[in-house]
Amino acid sequence: MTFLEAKNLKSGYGDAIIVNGASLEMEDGEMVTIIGPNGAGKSTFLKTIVGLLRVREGTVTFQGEDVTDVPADEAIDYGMCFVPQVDNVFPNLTVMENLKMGAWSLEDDDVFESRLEGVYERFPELENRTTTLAGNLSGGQQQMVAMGAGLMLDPDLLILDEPSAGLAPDLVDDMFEKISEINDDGTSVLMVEQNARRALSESDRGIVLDMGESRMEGTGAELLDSEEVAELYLGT
Amino acid sequence: MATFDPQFIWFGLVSGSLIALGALGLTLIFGILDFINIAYGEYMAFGAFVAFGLNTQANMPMVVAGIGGVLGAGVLAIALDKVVFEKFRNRSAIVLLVVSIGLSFILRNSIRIIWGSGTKRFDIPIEQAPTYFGISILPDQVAIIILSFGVLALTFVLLRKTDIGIAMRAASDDTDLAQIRGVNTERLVLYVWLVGGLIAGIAGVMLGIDSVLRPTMGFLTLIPIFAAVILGGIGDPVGAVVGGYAIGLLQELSVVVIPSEYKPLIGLLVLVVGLLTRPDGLFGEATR
Ligand SMILES: Nc1ncnc2c1ncn2[C@@H]1O[C@H](COP(=O)(O)OP(=O)(O)OP(=O)(O)O)[C@@H](O)[C@H]1O
Ligand SMILES: [Mg+2]
Repeated sequence: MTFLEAKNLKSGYGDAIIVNGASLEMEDGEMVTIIGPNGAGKSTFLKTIVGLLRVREGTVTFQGEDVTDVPADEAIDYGMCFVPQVDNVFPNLTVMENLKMGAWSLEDDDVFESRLEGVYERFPELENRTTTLAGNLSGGQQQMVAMGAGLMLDPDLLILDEPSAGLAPDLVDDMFEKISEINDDGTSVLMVEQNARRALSESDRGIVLDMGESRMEGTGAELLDSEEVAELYLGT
Repeated sequence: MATFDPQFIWFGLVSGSLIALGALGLTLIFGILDFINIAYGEYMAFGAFVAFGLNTQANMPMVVAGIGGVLGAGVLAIALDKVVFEKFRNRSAIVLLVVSIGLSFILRNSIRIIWGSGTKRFDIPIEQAPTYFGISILPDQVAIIILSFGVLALTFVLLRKTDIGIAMRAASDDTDLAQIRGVNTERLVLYVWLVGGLIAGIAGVMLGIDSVLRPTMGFLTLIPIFAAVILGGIGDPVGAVVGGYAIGLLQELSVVVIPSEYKPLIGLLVLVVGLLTRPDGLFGEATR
């Protein structure tokens, strides 16, 4: 059974169709990266999969269930958690409140405490900033809060939109390391990345999205070796 | 014009309490729905008139009638969201503003049709005002100040300490992200209307106790309430409350420098000057 399958998706904003027939398949435990030029519709594609935007055409299935029309606030119950590209923390909430919101649908206090510890283990910097407003953190720290909140429900699939965007170069390495660790610990990861070479080299597979359609796919290594991909999508 | 009298400060605290309540309710609703509900003043008036009906027409004691009025305003707020505002949820703030202006007009005139346009009073004993330090202090006024303070404190506990309150602040920051976190924001909106409506009811009933009831009582209070919201930074609950007390005091103390007929203009003045000079509020965005 395919873990996540998006088939011929169409969606957009108002009359503008942005995702125009894009498809994707991934297996449980995989790390898959979507690359493509600016404005290709990568973020829109992710937002459609998680239910923030309505699927106009096509289907999404996740772990054997049809989630095409599942709204964003229920997607989390199916085990997928989305970390958006921008605005991925609540700026006027403290770090702790942001993490609490990550566990909104979690009832059990003991589970909450142990997940919180797990997040602090992964992102130790957060532990002594619990009462800081997220909006007052640095970009890197905000990204940690966003990922930490996304991990509070221990999702089966973590969907990340440009997790390395806006980070200083040494933090980019850290971030990719964390993502690989999360994946090694058993969470499937689907991400969009501008840092295409780096992301593909860490990923099991990659997909090229352009003008709202999936153009190419292959293992990370295959895409990195392809001349066409290199020329059109990776820069020099 | 009048010479300064510490009595004005007392009056300022009383009206500041009422304005602070209204400003908090209005700003909570703005936070999650991103529009200014012009009909909010009518929610206050409705709560007051329901209490008036229960008190003078059904002969209930003031406390019971007051609770009835408060609940009435809460129910009204939810009902009008279901019947009216929900239909316009994804429309622009301007559309919602215009819809709420229409609603305000309809509500005000409905109140006039049901209860008449004359001035009404609750059936409560008119008390002697004992004087302390040259300030005459009515027991009702003490009750208004204490009760407002209690309601404000309770609302802040709700917003800071409870899961639903944290979710309200989260959705006020970013509705999409709140949904991603698993919050059913449509249901949350109803809770916010309920809280906002109950607060309007409390403010309205106390306004009626403090002075008299008229169909326009809410609408006329809306200007100082707006001024408080703007002064405090729109969408900022702490700012709204501080702004509310500030406007109340300013309004009552203004009689020292301008004739008292112009008192209601203070709110308008602050509103205009505030919008022109500090659109983010006196304290910026950071106090939320
Ligand atoms: N909220 C929105 N409303 C209307 N149009 C939008 C919205 N968000 C994105 N778009 C448009 O959709 C198109 C695709 O945007 P999208 O953000 O999905 O691209 P992207 O591939 O993620 O780009 P980037 O690499 O810059 O993040 C763009 O033309 C953009 O202008
Ligand atoms: Mg994007």
